[in-house]
Amino acid sequence: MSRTAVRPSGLRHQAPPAPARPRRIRLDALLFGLPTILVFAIFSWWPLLRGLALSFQRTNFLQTTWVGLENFHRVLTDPLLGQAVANTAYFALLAALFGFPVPLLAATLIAEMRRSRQLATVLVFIPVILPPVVSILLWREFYDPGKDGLFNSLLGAVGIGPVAWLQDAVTAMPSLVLMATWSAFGQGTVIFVAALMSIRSELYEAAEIDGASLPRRFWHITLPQLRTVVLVLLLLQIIGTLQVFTEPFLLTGGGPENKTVTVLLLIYNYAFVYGDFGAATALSLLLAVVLAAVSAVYLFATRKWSQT
Amino acid sequence: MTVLRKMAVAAALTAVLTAGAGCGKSAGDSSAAGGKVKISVNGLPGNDNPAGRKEFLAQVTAFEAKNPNIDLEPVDWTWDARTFTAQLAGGDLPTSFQAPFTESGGLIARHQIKDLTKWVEASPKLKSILPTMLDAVKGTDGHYYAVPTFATQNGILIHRGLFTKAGLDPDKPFSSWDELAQAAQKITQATGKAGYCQLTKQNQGGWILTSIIAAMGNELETRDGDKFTANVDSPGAHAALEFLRKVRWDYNAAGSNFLIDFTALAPEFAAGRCGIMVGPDGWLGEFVTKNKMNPRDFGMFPMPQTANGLGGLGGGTLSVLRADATDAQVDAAVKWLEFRFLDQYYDTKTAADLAKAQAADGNPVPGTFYAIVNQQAYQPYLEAIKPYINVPVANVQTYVDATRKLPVVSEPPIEAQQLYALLDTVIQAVLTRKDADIDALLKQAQSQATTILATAQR
Repeated sequence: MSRTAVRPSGLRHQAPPAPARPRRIRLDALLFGLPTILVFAIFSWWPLLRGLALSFQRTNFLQTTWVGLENFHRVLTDPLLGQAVANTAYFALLAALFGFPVPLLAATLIAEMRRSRQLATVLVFIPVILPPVVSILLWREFYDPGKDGLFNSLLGAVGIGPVAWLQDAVTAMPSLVLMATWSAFGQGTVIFVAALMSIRSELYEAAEIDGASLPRRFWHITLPQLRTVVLVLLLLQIIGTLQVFTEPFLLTGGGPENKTVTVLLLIYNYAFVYGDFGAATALSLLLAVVLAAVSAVYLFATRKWSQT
Repeated sequence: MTVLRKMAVAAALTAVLTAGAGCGKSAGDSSAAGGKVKISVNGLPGNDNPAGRKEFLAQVTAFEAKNPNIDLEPVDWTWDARTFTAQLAGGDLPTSFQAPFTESGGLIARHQIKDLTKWVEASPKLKSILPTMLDAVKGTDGHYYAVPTFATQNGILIHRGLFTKAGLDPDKPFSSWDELAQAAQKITQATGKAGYCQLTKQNQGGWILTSIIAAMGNELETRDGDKFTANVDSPGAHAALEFLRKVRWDYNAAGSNFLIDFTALAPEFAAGRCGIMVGPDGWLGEFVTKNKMNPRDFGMFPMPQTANGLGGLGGGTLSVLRADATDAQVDAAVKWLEFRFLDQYYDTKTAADLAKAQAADGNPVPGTFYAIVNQQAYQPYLEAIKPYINVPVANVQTYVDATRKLPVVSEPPIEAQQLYALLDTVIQAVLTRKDADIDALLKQAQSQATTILATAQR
């Protein structure tokens, strides 16, 4: 190809790039953003800074004294902390193993539907729009440990049970995971359905012509195409489940025998039951550090997959 | 998992934990100019209770007329442990407010309420409150930090309807815990309902168990010089847990829900799905007004006492003042407390007016059967409210008679809530695991309680 070829006409009169100018803070832009900055500063950044300070203080909110690392010592030597960390990790693991695939599978099935796709999406989304307390009240009835409880009635019909559900040290945490999965899977499903719709249909058509079954299409087309969404949602799920609070707070109170005490429930108890806000913020800070570390490790470990 | 929901909860927690830590206005801000002392007081009923609100506001007007130098600001505020500290930090607490007995230890330990010793000692009316009740709200330093305004002792609450169905005599109190356990078994066998119900969550289980332990001869803490040591692993605690084990596993009479707090248990009891529980007489209001229990079904017995039983665990409501209240404000608040809560025992018209308003609002009258003042003052009061009494007082007579003689046992003075939380776990173990080792559970709880008390008293 000749180097003297005629340039495309659209570029003929293009001006040379302007020299880089030093960045200026535009007053109008600053004014435009000021309300947002103020709201964030007052309601987000300032409380974070105060929380940081509070974790090194003892306060009754009338008098405050600096106590160095005493609050951290207290929470790290609390015999319940180990149990709370183990319980939280167990919840997160169960939710990742059993809860996370549910919306992906539901979305795959919905995406395969020729008719009533919208209706199915609405139906799976209903639990998400239910207020958490309403869901909890429902599930309290489902998990009623008596033989008249909903689940136990169903199991009783086939000669099983009654199961103690939330009141048994073994079944309590899986029961919470089941409830949490039910109330949240609609959200993940909707996101996955939207992502699935963006996958080019030719890929599936070609696979179908080649005789690929649904599982093979899922494994070889759907999953690779969704990997970015899967990675982000999994990270958010891990962060969310490590902060699990509502379910154990409302359903079990941490029982039986502390088997469902989670880190956030411990923080809540420090602050609002025992009035020790120093310990509560110290543990909050430790949790934030752990979550940041988990996120960093996760992103590092999956960077290759997300780039290819 | 609803990530957004979790994050919202976490953000809300963080915000509440930290917000307002640096900003607050002192009680002194509310001292009005012009020689008038301004105080805010809680207790104003909400708009959903027009009769009670009208009665309260009339009392405020009458008080201000009687005390022209005091400007009273009534507020619709009720105790909520979750918001208390944020309100304290934000300067939004009333000058004088009411809190449950069970919170007094924590409030005193954190220096969040005013030392009222000087005022209690100087007021004949405050001193007329039963000494046992006043002593129950003393700090470990022997000072008075609160004024009991509604007092009670825990007792045995019974559902008379279930008792009758089970062929039990609802007027014959239990002479022992074994007898109570057997009655629970009869109720379950005859009606299929829970014979005895035990609270197990939100530290309430520990609190109730502490009552039973006291009736069986022990307290959770013992004074050792100026310190307190844990006494969780005691013969009384063993006996109390053995009682629970027997009701649950030998008699199968404790129902099926072993993760339950009062909010969940109250409707069960009110609806006749639970025959016996331990608690204060003040719960009658919750059963009748919120859960529509027929007051005729409500009955009370005293706590059965073993040979070395210590008495009944005291409870109720306290009036306390913000720690930063000025002396002039305390003077004014004490006058209000006398006017609002104690004058009814010395002025029959006040007693009748209050009772009339409560009855008109559908509340049980009397709201408590426990006398906060001596019988000399209490009997004329009872006489004055007689036309408005809307609960069968005879159903609780054995409890009332016994509480006049039974000593009041105070709650553990140091970290009571943490000890109750430990006992919640022990109770849950005993009620959910047939093979629970009571000795081992109490030994572990004792070790944890020792650490908790040592940390708190460093």
